[in-house]
Amino acid sequence: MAAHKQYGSGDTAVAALAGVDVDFAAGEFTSIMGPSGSGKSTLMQCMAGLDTLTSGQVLIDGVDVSAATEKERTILRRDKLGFIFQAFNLIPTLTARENINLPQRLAGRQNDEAWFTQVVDTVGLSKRLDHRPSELSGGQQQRVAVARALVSRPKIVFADEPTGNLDSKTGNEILEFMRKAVDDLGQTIMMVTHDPHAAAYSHRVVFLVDGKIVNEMSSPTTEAVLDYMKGLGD
Amino acid sequence: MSAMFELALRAVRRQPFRYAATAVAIILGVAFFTGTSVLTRSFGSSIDSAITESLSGVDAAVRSAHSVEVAGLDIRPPVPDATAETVAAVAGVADAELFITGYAQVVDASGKTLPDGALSSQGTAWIEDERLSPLRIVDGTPPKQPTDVVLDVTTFEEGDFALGDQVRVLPLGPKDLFTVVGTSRAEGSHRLGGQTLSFSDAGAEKVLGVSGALAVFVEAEDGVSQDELLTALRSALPDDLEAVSGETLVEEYQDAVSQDTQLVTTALQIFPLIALFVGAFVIYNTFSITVVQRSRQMALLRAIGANERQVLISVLAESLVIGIIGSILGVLVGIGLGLLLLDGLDAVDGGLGLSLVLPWPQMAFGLVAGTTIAVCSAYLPARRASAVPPIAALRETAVEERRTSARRTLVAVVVLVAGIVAAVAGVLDDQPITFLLGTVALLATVFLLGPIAVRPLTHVLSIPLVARAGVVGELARENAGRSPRRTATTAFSLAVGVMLVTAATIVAATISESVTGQLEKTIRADHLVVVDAPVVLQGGGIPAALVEEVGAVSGVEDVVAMRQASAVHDGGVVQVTGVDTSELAAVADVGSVDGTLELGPGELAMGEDAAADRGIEIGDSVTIDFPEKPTTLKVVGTYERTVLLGTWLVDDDEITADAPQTLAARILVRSSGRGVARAMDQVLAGDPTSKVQTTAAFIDAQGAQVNQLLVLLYGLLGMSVLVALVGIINTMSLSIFERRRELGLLRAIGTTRSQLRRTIRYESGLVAAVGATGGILLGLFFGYLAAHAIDETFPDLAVPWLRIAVIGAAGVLAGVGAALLPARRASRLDVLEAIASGG
Repeated sequence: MAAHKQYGSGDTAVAALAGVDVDFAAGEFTSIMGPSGSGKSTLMQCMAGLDTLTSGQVLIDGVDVSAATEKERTILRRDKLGFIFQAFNLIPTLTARENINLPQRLAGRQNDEAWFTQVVDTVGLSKRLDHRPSELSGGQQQRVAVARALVSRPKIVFADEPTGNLDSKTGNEILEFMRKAVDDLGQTIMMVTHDPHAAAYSHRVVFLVDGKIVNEMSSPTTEAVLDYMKGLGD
Repeated sequence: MSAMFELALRAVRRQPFRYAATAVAIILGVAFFTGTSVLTRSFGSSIDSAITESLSGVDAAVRSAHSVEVAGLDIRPPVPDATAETVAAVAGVADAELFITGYAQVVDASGKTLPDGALSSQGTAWIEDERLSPLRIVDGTPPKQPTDVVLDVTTFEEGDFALGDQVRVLPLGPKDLFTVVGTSRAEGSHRLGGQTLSFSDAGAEKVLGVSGALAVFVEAEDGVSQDELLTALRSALPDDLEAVSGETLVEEYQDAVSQDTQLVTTALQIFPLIALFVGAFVIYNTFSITVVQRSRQMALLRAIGANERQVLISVLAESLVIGIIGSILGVLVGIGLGLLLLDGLDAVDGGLGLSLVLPWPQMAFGLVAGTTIAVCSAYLPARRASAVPPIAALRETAVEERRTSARRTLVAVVVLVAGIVAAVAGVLDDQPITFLLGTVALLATVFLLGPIAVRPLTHVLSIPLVARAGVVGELARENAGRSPRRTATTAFSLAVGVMLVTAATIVAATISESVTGQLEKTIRADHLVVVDAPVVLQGGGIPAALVEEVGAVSGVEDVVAMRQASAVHDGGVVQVTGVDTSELAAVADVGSVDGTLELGPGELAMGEDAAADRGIEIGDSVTIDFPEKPTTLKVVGTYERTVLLGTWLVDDDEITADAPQTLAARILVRSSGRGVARAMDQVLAGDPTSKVQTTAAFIDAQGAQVNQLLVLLYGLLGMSVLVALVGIINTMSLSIFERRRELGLLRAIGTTRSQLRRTIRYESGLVAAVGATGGILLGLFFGYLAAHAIDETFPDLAVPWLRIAVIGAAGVLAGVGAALLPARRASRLDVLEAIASGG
């Protein structure tokens, strides 16, 4: 079913999503790309239950997110989704370890120590676990965010420009971790980005223009994405 | 300058809520200050004019030269009745009348006294001469027969009396009935002070005792000035009588009243000043926080060319605007409050005809104090704002915390210890100045060291919270500890109130415990007859005849009546108790005795501590100045327990000799057999102002009196706590505003709204807990010191831990309550907006 998101109503209505119909396969790393105002962030926010659709449906693991109440969506985010934002991902008063475990503990669940260790090792954080965000570099902070997103074994991780605030070397590391999480740990990731280089780390790129899906590309490369984007006149 | 002021006005207009909360701190303090001033000023000026009016026809008064000052009022022995004739014979005197007054009050149809009789009731002999009489007949006729009585109009209406009614009058018994023949009012007011009963001369003599003439009021012949009259009177009078002009008399009465109202005013105004003091911290904190939050704006101002001074002034201008608005509102609210209180007082007193008088000096003081406190509290934050470098405009965020240096900490700790030592030493050596300096040093360093203590304190205090609430508790703990300075200031403002409440509680418990404990040991009697306290204060009590009737009840074995008279010794007022000392041992055990308590004429016994304190030993002679006359008594014994009898004890006969008008305030009764209490009740049925109590009930009531006062004190200190809670609400709101991205993140990764609300409520509760803990610790310290200071009279130090725990818990709960609104607002933040803001 096509997803619609519209702001305002009647003549002044602005359609942010004008009939998007897309699947994200489990165990796949998908990027959403598009020029500014294409609706890519809105799509992600609606899928993640941070925002609601005007019409249409979002199904995650068989659960209709769009029909859920605010409270149900909160629980869903906590238990089944992971998040990595561009910046300000961490609670400054908590250590890296506490930040990583926060969703689990909010749910009142015991965390799986073995899995925790594996995730932390994967992102290479084992030595900085007792530091607070202010004592970590930007890259390290994003790694904590990645670990937090992965540690609750979510059905899907949403990443919104996760490398937007990082230098390219650190950004590449983060993207590699994300790809590894998908390849090695079987994670599902949806990433919103405007950076063709970042998109090249994913299995599939979906292009969004004016709230509609205009194309998609499997096994993308930086050049191929860049070429296509030029064609869009961005 | 004007641009900066414009900026300040805009800032206030843009964030009205933030500033409203700050202004509340000012409004509350200034309003209560003004309210109490309005009340006391209006009250005082109404009484002043009533006194002037009622004595306007009196050109001179003749009275006893000997006087004893008790509570601002000169108490004198009565003048002999014949004085009126002596004075009337003096040249230039047109008329001279005895002014007779004493305790009397009317009993209504149901056998009860009127509620306002407790305030002040008097009986007086009607003065025929209109110029000399302070009273006028409204209806009916003046009292002529010995059994006639005229009631003031207010009493007449309140008691639902009618002309011709047969009424009883206290302190006379049920057999003496009076006929209501008229109603009266006072010149310039509805009545004199309180209930006023007028009798014929014969009636007054019967009701008020042998000779109750306070003075002779004198009217001059036409053409004779007050000075000429005085000269003539003085040359004609014996040495033990003096003459004063009517003007002097008016001034004396007005001074006595103003001393009373001044005392009440001062006592009441301490509390709004404390609230203003607490408000200063609330304002300081609010400005500290907002200045940090706006440091980018400040830096921008600096970057576009404002100098440090201009930034400083822009912040100070904001505080000035708030201070002025808050103070003006405070004064207005205060006038409203004063009107309400006046209305209430008028309803109770019924008929003073109080009218609003605005206390301009106090209102001006309120305005200046409120504004000054606002500006001064904002000065340090303003300095910090002006120190923001222009480059900060380009930085991501500004951080508030500056660490307290180790050296400064060390100095503060040394001053803290010195403060504690000085406070303790001040109490031990009875040096109020040392104590005060120590206290100031102590509180100042507690404030300075607060930020260091915040983290460890929040950690300890949050242990039960984290155990119960898990991660939500941990988040609250970390948030409470993240800005130690902010948390410390917020907590400190609450601590001030909690400290005073705790100390007052300890002092009250110590007094209550000492009183009840000692009474339990002292009283051997099984019953007491007690008289309502206000009646005793007005000179009422149980007449000797009634005491005898009680003694005659079958089953009663021993009866000892206690009579208390005010007198002056060594410049201070003392209460001298007279009992039948030969019977005393049967009803009371005063503990260890040196010398003897079997007192004869001219002999005195004293409480041992009081005697030692004054350096009086057995065998010494002391002079006690009774209103009647000075008397020299020989100390023949000292005794241990003084709560029941007081520290100055003489025999019944001695009191009769020194202060013959004194009625019994209490009767101690030892009895055997059943039904004695009921039989005594029947004897006393005619006197609605006294009642029979078992010893246990009497002791309970004595302890409860202290608690009533404590409740009043709690109410007055509640103001400071209220201001502190406003501060907590404000701090929480500002913190939430500052952390909205973080809150958005928490919501995004799955924190439910209710978890978020709890996080914020717990944080606020923790901040309050830090304040309550600090307040209780300080309160324990000062409570112990205060208890020590009064331990001669009240030796049983009592720390009511349970009550203190309840105070602490109430503080924490209030903190949680203060966060209800901020928490609600936080949980309703739009998640997307919160994440996006500033990102």
